[in-house]
Amino acid sequence: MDTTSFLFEGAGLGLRRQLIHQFLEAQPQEVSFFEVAPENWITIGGKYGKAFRAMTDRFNFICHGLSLSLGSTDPLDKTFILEVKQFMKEHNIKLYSEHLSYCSKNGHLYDLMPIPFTSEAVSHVAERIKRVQEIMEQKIAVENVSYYAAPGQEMSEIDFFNAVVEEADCNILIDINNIYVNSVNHQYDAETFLKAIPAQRIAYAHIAGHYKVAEDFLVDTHGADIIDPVWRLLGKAYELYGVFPTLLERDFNLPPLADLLTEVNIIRSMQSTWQTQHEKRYA
Amino acid sequence: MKNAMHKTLEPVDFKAKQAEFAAYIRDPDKNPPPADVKEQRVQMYRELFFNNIEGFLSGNFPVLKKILGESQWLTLAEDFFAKHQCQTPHFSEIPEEFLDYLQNECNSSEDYPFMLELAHY
Repeated sequence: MDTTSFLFEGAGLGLRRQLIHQFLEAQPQEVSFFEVAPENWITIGGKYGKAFRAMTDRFNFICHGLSLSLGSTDPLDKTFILEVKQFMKEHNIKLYSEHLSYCSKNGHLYDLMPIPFTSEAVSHVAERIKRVQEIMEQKIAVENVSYYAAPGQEMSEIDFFNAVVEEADCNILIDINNIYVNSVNHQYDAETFLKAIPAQRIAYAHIAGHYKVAEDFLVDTHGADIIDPVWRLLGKAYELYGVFPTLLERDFNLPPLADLLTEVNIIRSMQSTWQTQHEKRYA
Repeated sequence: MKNAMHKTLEPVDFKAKQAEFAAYIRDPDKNPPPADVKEQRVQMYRELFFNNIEGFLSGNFPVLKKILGESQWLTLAEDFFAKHQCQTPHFSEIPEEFLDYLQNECNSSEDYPFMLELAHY
């Protein structure tokens, strides 16, 4: 894969408000980009607003949205899309990613629901992604979400995902943990899924920990350390497609910054290993 | 077998499926879970969604929560989630949505006339 097409290289970290002052003080060199939910920051002024400005002045950022509700049957919120666009301009943020999901039906529910995997839904959501891209005047990256139930399923998750991104002609944010969680919850092979994604569309990846409810039921909490099978899946992805920017998400049970940076450093060392492997292979 | 065949031929109305799913999450006492998925899984959705909303509310209205007590507070949060159509995409504006609900949709606010005033703390 052509690595020069990425906005930036290396490992990223989701920015939590509790950690912002520590980042400003420590300026960790191992984090090459951060991610924020615009829904958490657009309205924030005062002390945190200033700290956020100081962060975006110093570091690369991605906007990772939660409220766009791409799959919803409620109308697209154009005012909100323009707010995100303005926010990105103010903070010099170049990339906007969102979930292949919906979080509203007659108003917001503030979390991600599973779009029925149907061909009618493919056209519906692809049209909405195209409309968002028109308003934003740039491509967005769409993420494969974790889902615990597939109501109204007519096609497989991978066929649905691929059909949407093809029709919308958007980029993708590939979430490695979500592939793993879904493969357990819906009994499919994670590597087969990974092999079927349109890799040329990858903008970056997410990796995170999850919570095990039962052997056959995992919940995508972003509240635990990453487990080995998920690390191995990331390695497989680098092996198949070359190295791409990868961000650690940790939203709950935040450990000390040093522990988060340990996981960030694992990403970096895997990237460096696979970079070398690929260079050897194509030398 | 005939029924099963019939079922697969009928196209899925994804909009109706979404409406059914969201209705169950908002108010599982009044709306049935989708019939074509495991109940344990949709119950988890309900739990995650409600905990998320309740977390926003209790973080923003600690005094009201304390005065009402756990049980009444949860009933109020459940009623808000079931009834109120939140329009804001911004998480920091959920408190305004809750105040709007207390003023216009909450039936028990007559029982607690102090509630709206308290909610500002």
